[in-house]
Amino acid sequence: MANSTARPSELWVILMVLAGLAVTEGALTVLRPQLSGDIRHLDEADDIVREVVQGEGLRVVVGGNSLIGEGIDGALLEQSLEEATGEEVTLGVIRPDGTGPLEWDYLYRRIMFNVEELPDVLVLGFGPGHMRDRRIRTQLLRLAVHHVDRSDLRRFFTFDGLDFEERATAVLASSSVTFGLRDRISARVLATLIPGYRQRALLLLSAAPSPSNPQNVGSYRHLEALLDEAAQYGVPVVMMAMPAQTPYDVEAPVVALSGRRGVELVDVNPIPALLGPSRYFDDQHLDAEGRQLFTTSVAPFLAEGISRAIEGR
Amino acid sequence: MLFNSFEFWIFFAVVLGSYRLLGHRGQNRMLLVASYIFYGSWDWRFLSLIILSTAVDFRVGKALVSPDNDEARRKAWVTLSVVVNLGLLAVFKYLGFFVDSAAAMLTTLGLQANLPSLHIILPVGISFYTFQTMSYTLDIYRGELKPTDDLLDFALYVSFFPQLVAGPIERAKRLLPQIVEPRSPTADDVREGIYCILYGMFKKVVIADNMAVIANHAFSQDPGSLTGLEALLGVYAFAFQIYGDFHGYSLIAQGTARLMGIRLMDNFNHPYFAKNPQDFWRRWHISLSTWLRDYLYIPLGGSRGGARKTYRNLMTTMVLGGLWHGANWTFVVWGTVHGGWLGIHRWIAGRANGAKDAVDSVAVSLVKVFVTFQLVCVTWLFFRAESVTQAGGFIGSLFSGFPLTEFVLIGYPLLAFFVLPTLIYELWVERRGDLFAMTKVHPVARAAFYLALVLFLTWFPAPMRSEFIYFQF
Repeated sequence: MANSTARPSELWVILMVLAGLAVTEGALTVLRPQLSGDIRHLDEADDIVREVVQGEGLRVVVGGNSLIGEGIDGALLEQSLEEATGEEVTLGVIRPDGTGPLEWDYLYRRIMFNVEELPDVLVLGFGPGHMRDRRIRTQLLRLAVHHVDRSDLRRFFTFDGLDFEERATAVLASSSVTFGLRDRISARVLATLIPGYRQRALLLLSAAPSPSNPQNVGSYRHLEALLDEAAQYGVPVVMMAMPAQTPYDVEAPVVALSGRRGVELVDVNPIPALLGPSRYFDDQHLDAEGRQLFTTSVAPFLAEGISRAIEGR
Repeated sequence: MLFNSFEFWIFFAVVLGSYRLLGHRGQNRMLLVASYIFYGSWDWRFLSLIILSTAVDFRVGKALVSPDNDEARRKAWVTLSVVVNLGLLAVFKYLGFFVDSAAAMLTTLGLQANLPSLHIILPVGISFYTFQTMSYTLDIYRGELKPTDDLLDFALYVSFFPQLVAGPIERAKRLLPQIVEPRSPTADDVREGIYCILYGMFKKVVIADNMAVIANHAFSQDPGSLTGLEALLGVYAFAFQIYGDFHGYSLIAQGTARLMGIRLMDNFNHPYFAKNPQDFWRRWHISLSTWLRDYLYIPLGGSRGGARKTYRNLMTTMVLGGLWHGANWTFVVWGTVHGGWLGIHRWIAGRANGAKDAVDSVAVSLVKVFVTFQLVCVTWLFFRAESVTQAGGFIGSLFSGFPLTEFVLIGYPLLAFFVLPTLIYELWVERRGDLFAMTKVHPVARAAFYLALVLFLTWFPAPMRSEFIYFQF
């Protein structure tokens, strides 16, 4: 056995590592908004809602994911709705990437239902299959970091049936940006070093084995919970089926749910025949020109839906 | 309870905390309970197999030194130990395979085979602990070890949780005295233990799991649809996956044991820097290859008895070593091919005997390392493939053109990103000739290295966490 007395204790090494981690944590806390536009948007989400609820006239929050982000021009929709309804409209758009009812359920609890003033209507834009619940594990970090409030952790653990490993990951992610933002950091590093990383990585992930499969995958529990919460706070909801390059039928359970709950369903996906396939930059997302066309053309349909939703409140 | 889980590290923190508070006897009792809890977390029912193996070998150990037993009786006792342990393996690991193979053979011969299809669950780690406990009775029989009088100490030797389910396969001569004697971790134990745990976690979580994503993609395809570069990518990715996976496990086992003052053997010594097949087996899964050498190859006659017998003994050892890994013809072929490489190398080395002491130039060394690595990779195809047919398809694909496909354009850069820095680091360790070289550098440099490992562990885990490959053996 080697002589150990001449060397300093390993405690100093551990302390230096911990100091390095503290510096990293501090730096990432400061640099966090630089990591992605999506993070900046999520950081501003509660301000967007606050501005809407403090606004004048019809106060509309449009929620969704990148389909809304790429498909709706907020300022133009606000103006188009004003023209369609004949009244002043204050509108805000919340559109974090890759989200669905799983994230919205927690996000809107945090930024909308838990504040004193509420919007007049919540519009939820969605695409094919987006309203179904998804696997928790693939979304766990982002849920913990951006969507689930600390006070909602208990509900998160039980409602979504998280196992011990998932709970530990969620707590760690909500406590540390170094840990919680790891998928953003790794994607940023690899995308910088490897050309075409973001698109090509999907190829590999498609062959990855499925993670543990909570019992609620494929159900609509989070959508139902979100609608329950909105109903409890008296916020009418309009669900808006967004267009895709290939027209689709809204899933029967979503149609049934909207009928059962008296939630307006505006299915604009077959409407915009003017949006030919060339208006998309991939199979789902509208390009800049498609965005302008869609925003102006959807306003009358949306105005009708909003009007019916408010009347039915 | 996987090493790469929060659950394990909480469990280990409780064990280590208790360990520090207890005296030697208390430590051993607590470690035995902890080991059974650890093993039972997979399936409590299989604890009975460990307990059976423990009880039989403890009794056999005592009988082997009893003055009442003559040589014939001693032989009977040691045979009992071998039969019980290999019997457990035969039933739980190989019975289904043999029945299925017999049925297939009868069907091929045109005979109606109504043999039952057996679905026996493989108890985790059974191949490791049966070999470990057999080494105890075999060493006593050979007069190289005295049996212990304490059943609980022996039970801890068989079930010591850091190395219970995937090795290293410790010899009683080495581990048992450390259990029997009082011990307290030294500063070196703590220093090297922390290094082993951090580097082991890095190799498993960052290297192995990320390479698994690439290898799984390649091996999930029809081999006929893969280009040469894609098939090669899949093989290289698997080569580093299995190395990272198993080396990572062994390091974490060493590290956790060291924090309790127990030294486990080094199971890997940079195997992909091997210059020939024999060198590879001196560096890869050292605890298994030395076990096979000492308890199979040498008793078969080793290299005594002429070239023909030596080649036969080599091949027998490698085929059985292959079968040890799993009940599938792919492992038999894997062992056979390795036996073939070893035989060819032995033949070539024998012809070039005069030059064997010459020191290779850097260029020659590089060529030897490169060629050996390619040979090893070919064998990994059989190890990873679901069937010999799939492995054959992959070998065919290796020569089927080299276009730059999407998979190639993402896979090779990822392979380079994760593997190259690791290889450069291991080359540095190799040149220092000390597996623990990092623990000897300036504390600031070591802290920087550890910080990099922790950040990689935090930021670059694979999208899906996976179990350790060697658990299935």
